[in-house]
Amino acid sequence: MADSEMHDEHLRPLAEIDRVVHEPARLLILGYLSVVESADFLFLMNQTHLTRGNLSSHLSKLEAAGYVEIKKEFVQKIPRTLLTLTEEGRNAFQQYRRSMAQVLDNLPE
Amino acid sequence: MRTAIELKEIRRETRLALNQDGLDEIMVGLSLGIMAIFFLDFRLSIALVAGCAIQILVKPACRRRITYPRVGYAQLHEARGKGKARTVLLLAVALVMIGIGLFFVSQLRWLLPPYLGIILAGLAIAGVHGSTHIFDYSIAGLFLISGLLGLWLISLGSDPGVATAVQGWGLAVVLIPIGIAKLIRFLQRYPEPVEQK
Repeated sequence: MADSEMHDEHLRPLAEIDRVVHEPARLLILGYLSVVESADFLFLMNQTHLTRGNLSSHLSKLEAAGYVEIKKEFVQKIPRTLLTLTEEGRNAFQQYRRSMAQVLDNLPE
Repeated sequence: MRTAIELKEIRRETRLALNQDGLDEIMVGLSLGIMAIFFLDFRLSIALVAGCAIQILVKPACRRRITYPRVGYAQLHEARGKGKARTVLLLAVALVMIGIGLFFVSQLRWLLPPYLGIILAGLAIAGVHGSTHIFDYSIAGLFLISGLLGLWLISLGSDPGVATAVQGWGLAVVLIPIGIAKLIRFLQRYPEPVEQK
C-alpha cells in the first residue's frame, strides 16, 4: 500500500467528524451536559466561562442539531432555563470522542 | 476557556461546583451533633429523626435558597449508578441500625464509636468515589479518627454512650466551622444572585 493511501486511511475518520460537536465551546458544553442529568443556563455559564450571548448562541446551534433539549420553566416564580443532553446528542458526543481517539491513535510518529 | 475534554475531571468539577457552598459540612455536622444526644439517653430517639430531617428537608431547602440562585442548578448524572447508590444507601441504613443495636448490648457497646466511625468514613468515600484527589478523602479520614477518639475515651473509663456522643459533637465542632468558612467564601465569591437568561 502506498504511503499516501495509508495516510488517507488514517485520516478518514477526521473527514467524518461532526462539526457541530467539534467546535471547542460546544464540545465543552456537551462534556458538562454528558455528566449531568440536567443543568440550568447559569450553571453552564459559570462552568464554561462563556459569556451569556456566546453560550446562548452555541446552545441554539446544539438545539437545532437536536443534541440539546432546552426547557424554560418557573421555579418559585423565578425563570429557569433547563438544559438536557438528548440521546442523539449523547451518541454524537460519544461518536466524536471515538473518532478523535482513533485519528490521534493512528497518526504516524 | 478550557478545551481539553476529560470527563472524569469535568465530573469532579461539577461535583465541586455544587458542593462548594459548605452546606454539606454544616448539615452533616448539625445532624451528627443532634443525633449524638440519642447516645446519652436512648429514649431521645427523636434526635435521630431530627438529624435525618436536616439532611432530607433542611439541606435541599438551603441549597434552593442559597446555592442555585448563585451558581446555577445541576443534577449529577446517576443513570449508571442508580441501582448501586440505592444498594449503598440501604446497606448504610442497615449498618447504622446494627450499630444502634450495639448500643443495647452492654458487652459490645465499646465497639460503637469505631463502628460508627467506619460507617461514616465508608459513606464519605462512597460520596467522592472515583476521585483521584487525596483531599476529597480527608473527611473520611476525620470520621475514622473520631472512632479512635471514642475508643480512647472509653479506655479512659468513659461510658461508651457518652464517648459516642462526644464523638458526634467532636465531629460537629470540626465540620460546622469548616462548612461556615466555605459558605462565607462562597457568598463572597458569588455575592448576588445573577439574573437568569
